[in-house]
Amino acid sequence: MKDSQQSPAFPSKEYVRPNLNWECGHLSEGCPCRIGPSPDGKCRATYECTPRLEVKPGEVKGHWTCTRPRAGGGKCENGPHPDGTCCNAIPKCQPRRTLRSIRKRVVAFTIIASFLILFIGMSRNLRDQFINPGPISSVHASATFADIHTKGSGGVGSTCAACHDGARQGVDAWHAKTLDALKHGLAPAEWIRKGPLKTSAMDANCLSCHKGKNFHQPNRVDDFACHACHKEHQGGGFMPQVDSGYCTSCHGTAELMAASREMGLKKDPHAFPSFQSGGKPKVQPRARPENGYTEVITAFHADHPEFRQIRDGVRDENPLKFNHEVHLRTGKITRTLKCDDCHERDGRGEYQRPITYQKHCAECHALQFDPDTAAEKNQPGMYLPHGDPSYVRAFLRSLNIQYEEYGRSHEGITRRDELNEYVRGKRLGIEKLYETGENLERAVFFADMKGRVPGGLRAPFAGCATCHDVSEPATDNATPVIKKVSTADRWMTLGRFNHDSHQKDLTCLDCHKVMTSKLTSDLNLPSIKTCVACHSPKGGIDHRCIRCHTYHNSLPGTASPKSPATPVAPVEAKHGD
Amino acid sequence: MTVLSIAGLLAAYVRYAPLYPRHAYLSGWMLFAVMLFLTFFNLRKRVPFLRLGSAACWMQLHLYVGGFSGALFFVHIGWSWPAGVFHQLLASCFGVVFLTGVLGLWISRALPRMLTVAGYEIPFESIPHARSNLRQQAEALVLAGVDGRTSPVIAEFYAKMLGMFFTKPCNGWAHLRQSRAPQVAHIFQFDEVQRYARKGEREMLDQLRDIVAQKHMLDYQYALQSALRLWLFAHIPLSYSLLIFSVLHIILVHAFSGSVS
Repeated sequence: MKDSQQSPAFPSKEYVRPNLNWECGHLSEGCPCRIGPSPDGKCRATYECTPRLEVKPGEVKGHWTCTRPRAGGGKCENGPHPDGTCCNAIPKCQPRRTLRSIRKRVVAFTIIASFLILFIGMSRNLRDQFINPGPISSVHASATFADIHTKGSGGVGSTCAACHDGARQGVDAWHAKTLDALKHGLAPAEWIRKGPLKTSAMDANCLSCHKGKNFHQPNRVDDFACHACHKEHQGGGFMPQVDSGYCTSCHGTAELMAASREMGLKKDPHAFPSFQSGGKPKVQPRARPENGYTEVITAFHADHPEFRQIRDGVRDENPLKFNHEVHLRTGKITRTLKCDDCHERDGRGEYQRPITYQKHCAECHALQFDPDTAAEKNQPGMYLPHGDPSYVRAFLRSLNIQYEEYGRSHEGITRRDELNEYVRGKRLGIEKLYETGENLERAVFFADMKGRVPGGLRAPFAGCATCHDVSEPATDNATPVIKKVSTADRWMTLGRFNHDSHQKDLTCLDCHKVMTSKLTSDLNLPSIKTCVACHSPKGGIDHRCIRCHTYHNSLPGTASPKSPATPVAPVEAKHGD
Repeated sequence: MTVLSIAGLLAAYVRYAPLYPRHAYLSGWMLFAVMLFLTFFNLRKRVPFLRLGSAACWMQLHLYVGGFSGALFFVHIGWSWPAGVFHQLLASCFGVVFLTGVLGLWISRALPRMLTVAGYEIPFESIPHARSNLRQQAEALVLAGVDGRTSPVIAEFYAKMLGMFFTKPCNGWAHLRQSRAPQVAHIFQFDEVQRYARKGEREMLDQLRDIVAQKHMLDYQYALQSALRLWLFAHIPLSYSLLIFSVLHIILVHAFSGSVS
């Protein structure tokens, strides 16, 4: 490192004043005058000194003496003029501003420019665009919306006034509104108030179009503002999806959930939506939990309760007999099935279409009681009707006619006597097997998969009881009773699910353990742990509440029948599905 | 301490922000208070009689609080750049003030060290005087060699290559980049001229070479000391703009808030 050294030309005796506003114009030449500019930037240079008149004893006139200081070079050689003026006039200069002064002016200019920008931006024509914190969603930015609300805002002319009272009142009222806000709605204590935003005047503007806001559980502790969840000015297109934090601000707070639980217990049970069967999609009726949906939940992956179907051990009450294992395992049946042979995805890829006998069962379960009457090309065989036991019975009691029709259409028999002979032969074959028509009827209704009929009879076909719960009729000579099949379309009705979006790297069997399921009553639904494996920070897949749940629900009895892929039963809770 | 404060702030934001929907008002008012504190840091100098602590102490405080304000700003805007015209203006203003502050911190820490290492110290206000002295020395040297009988090599060299060099600060950007290219260029030029100079002229060239080297050192001082002052030309004025815009922002968010019934 070099030794520090003073500049050889450093004028150590000169005192510079950088804090002044002006400096001598000769400073750049290295020879500023000693007096310097005036405070308002005028050059004050006159002469290098002011000569002094010295009168010695005995002299009348005296003589002028140079008073130039040593720092300025000391007394000059020529001395003052006879009239007493200095002989060394200082050349005039154009004083320059110091850096400090320039900075002050830049500050002043910037402040003025800032006010100017605000003045222009807040002018009537530009104000809405200038102060708009961001584009509003496409729906609220439409011309129709603007028309409706401009008319409703009392002709203010600002589309902001559609929602904001502040815009309706004008600039001159903003400061008063600000002070009012600081005293009431936005007082410092409110900044740290936990829980969602309370309703305000802005909600009334929302509700002028969005009718009815009583859409959550009746036992909610407080009413919320629309904008507590729905954030506007976040860009065009749809509004941004609701963050889970807004849900857990209530559902994650133990006090609020406890209060909600207490309130729910005091409420009329009929005030709550219930799940009823018979609608579309069909759901198995179940009661609302005693405490409602008030478990404390802070995150799906952390403390979301197990799905109710799993937790409560719900069983499928469908009387149909179906064994997934048999149908899916190789070697158990003639044709091994795949999941999508029966479970077909709906148009939106969310859920499965209903399973029907004709489409999904008839190929294997053909209801053919006589193996000699199979279908041929373009000609239907002789099969029992499906759907109503009385039709089956009627079919069996009209066998002569059925055989005659079959003989005519399939065997090509046209002569009456030949047809009679054909029918008689068939009847003899049946009588040989079953002896009576009653036995045939019992075999059809009660034969199981292996043709066993209660009472010792055997049938060469699988009867109705293979799949259905068939019971004896209550009275003699009545039709056996077959319990009506009711396959639920949906089990987890409080949440949305999309099967299509779960296909990547997953098979059906990864979630639904059906290869060991033997009973129809097995729901075969995955546990929440299966979901959390992916839908968690660790799994890296979206785990927000709105991924499955929605806050807005239809009130009981108001669900739209036009949405078969969504639950008819109200979806009002966030958990426990 | 600042790092801990920022980490605490960010952790609190991630953990508690969803539970407190009005946290933007809290962080906003905190940010405004911090900005006021930072903007009027200079006022301390105006009231020395109050004995509010040393300037160095206040400077450190300014730096720590300034760093914290950056994190607070991002918490306030929710980690997304605003979309509206006014809000973009406000955010940009903060960004520029913050970044010039960071730049100023680096300048005020790094450049004085460089100036000291250079081994030639001179007050900024005295640089014009020193430059003038150097020019006079150089011109006197060159004029002494012009006698009408010898070749005018040095005089022409001075007039063509060095005349403007001595009249004003030169090569500021190169000095800021710590580049020695201008010096090297002059050395080459001197070596080139020296081939045509006679013995007496070579001594003169050596003296001129020393003066040019001093001018380079002077320019180096000027460039770095200017940088030490000029960053404030963006930092301070925009701080006031930021305050003005912030006041309007406060009025707007309260007057237009949906939380006001």
